[in-house]
Amino acid sequence: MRLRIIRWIFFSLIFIIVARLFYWQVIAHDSLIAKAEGQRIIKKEVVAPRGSILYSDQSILAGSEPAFSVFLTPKTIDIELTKKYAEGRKTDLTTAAPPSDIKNYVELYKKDLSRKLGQFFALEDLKQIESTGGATLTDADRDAKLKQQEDEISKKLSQDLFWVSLNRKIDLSTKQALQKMDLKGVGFDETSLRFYPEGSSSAHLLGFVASDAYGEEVGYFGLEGYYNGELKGKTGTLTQEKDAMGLPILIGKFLIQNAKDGKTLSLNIDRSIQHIAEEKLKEGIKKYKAKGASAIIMDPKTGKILAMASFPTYDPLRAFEYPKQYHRNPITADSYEPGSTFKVLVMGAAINEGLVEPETICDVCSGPLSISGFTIRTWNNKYQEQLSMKDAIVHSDNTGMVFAGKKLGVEKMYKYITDFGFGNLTKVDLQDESSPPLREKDTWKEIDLATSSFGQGISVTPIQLITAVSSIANGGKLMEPQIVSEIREGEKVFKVKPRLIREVLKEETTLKIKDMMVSAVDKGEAQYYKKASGILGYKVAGKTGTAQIAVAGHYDATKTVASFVGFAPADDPKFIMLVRYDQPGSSIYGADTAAPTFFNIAKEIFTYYGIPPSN
Amino acid sequence: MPNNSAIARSLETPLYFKRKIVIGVVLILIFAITLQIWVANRSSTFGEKINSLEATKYSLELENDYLRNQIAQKKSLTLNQKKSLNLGFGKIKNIEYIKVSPIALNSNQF
Repeated sequence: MRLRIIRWIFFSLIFIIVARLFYWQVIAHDSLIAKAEGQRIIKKEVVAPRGSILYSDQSILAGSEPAFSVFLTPKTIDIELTKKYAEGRKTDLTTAAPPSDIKNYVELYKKDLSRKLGQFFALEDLKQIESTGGATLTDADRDAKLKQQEDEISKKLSQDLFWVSLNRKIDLSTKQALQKMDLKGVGFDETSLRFYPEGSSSAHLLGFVASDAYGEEVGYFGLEGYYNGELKGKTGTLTQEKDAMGLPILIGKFLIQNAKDGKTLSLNIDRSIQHIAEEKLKEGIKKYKAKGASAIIMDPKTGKILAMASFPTYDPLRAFEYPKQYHRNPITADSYEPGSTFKVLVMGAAINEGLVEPETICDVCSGPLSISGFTIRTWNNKYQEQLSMKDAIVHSDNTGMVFAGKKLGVEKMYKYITDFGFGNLTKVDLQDESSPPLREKDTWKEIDLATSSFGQGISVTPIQLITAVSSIANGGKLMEPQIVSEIREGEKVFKVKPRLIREVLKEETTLKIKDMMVSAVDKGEAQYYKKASGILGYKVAGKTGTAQIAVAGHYDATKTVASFVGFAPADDPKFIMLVRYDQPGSSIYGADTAAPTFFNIAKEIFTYYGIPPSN
Repeated sequence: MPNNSAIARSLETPLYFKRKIVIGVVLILIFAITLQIWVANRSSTFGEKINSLEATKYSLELENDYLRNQIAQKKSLTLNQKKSLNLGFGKIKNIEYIKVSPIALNSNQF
């Protein structure tokens, strides 16, 4: 009997052991394996830096620097402090007397942490604002900033979560300073931050990088937006087996999925020319009391954009602190009526069609013209009996242009406007390009034909205008404007070749227009500014433009867009440039504002390129 | 008929070899165990080495990135313009271009 009982006990024990083993080996197999792997296998993200954007001389315009995103662990604070409190250990709590209950104890720690972190980040922000020459801050502003930071952190710490992002990226030195404070519940994730050695230079051209709704870095506007796919890298993962000390096991599991760095963009933008354009525009916007200013410089033979600058601008690192309208690139996204700068294109079309010649005399230009009940006048209300087409360009005579426009007719005018690229995107490699629509050809009336001949009643973007005029500088060939010259991925290099869109004008036509534009500079209203800037010996072809801005269905004579488009040296153009001021206050005319800036920039470019004067 | 000594030798031989095999196996086992202990010991200390090498690599890469960016920062035109203005440098106001004399151009003919 006793033997039987022992046998039963023995078999029962064996059964229990087998059952337990069955549970471990079969039923709980997956969860136990996961638990074990979770203890010894560590997965780590390998950050892939965003690709750099380089100037044509390969210096950095936008790069990446290692950074750390800060996060909080509110639930871990609760658990750890509760444990410490229960154990009666001394905590690093800086508050005075220990609280009576655990809830207060944790709350006090979180309050203290919010205060310390708030103070730290508020100070960092203020330092940054002051270093970038931002507005002078009062004590009230500082207190408000501190309070805002504290409240924000406190709100995040009150969440019942293990991980809460602070949405902040800091550099290594800031991280080290924070680590020195030895704050419990604050952690860092490795990431990268955009780095701009030239500060806010070329901000409109670059665009900026910010997090999207999923917390992923995305490029917005400009190059960052257009080439986001190329610039963003692919994050890798490292799976490694570690021992109890957290050290890697040599013969353990080691899997690596390499991070793929973002591609590097090499631009056509010349750092020196960009700097010159920005400096001169900054001076000009102050001097002419303009609301905005922009300049674009291009190589007319290849379509390579050498510089692109606009003001007011913003700091791409703190883009969201600026009004949204600052983010748009005025050169590619703003439409305006080009005014007299458009005349060279209309005249080019009329000459190309053999309808007029530079010497053709206008027989209706001795006074104002009346068309469909509207009166067309010249800008200074002065008229010439024997006005030649060349004079119409030199003195920017609207009546002479109406004469040429009428000769062209709606059909041909429309054809040339579309051939020059208006009404379509130029396909410049920037994200925020837009094209103002052209009115349907069938809806054009006589007055539309007349006003468009001198650049009113038609909207263009600065990039469209410079691309169109560059065809005159390039023997009639219209080139696609290009910012990027090379895309590099390790050893692989993809070169962007110049692209011819179409041939709009005959070469002989362009020679005639060039001659008219050279005379417009030397004998027109801007001649004094050319002399004053000291580039009299250079052959510059150009045209001023003053277009009134339509406000509530009417043109406001006091609000204009003043511009100047030109290229030099006229016989063998090395660059074409468009300078544009939005609502200049000192003078409404392009000849008094945009033209001097054009000549000042041109002078510096001549020196930079080492181009001697022709005379 | 085999003699007695020959019979004894034939009986002793397998035992002799058996003993040798056992000793050999034991030796191999001892060697294998020692090797295993040695490898385990080495690999456990290598973990620390790998860790320190990884940390060094990371800090070097970090430093490299910072230095590269610092170089870019120091090369900044905006910064250098400010510096050079402070040092008293100024822009050249008038540049005179010298026309190359045709005589100078043809000098190699003489």
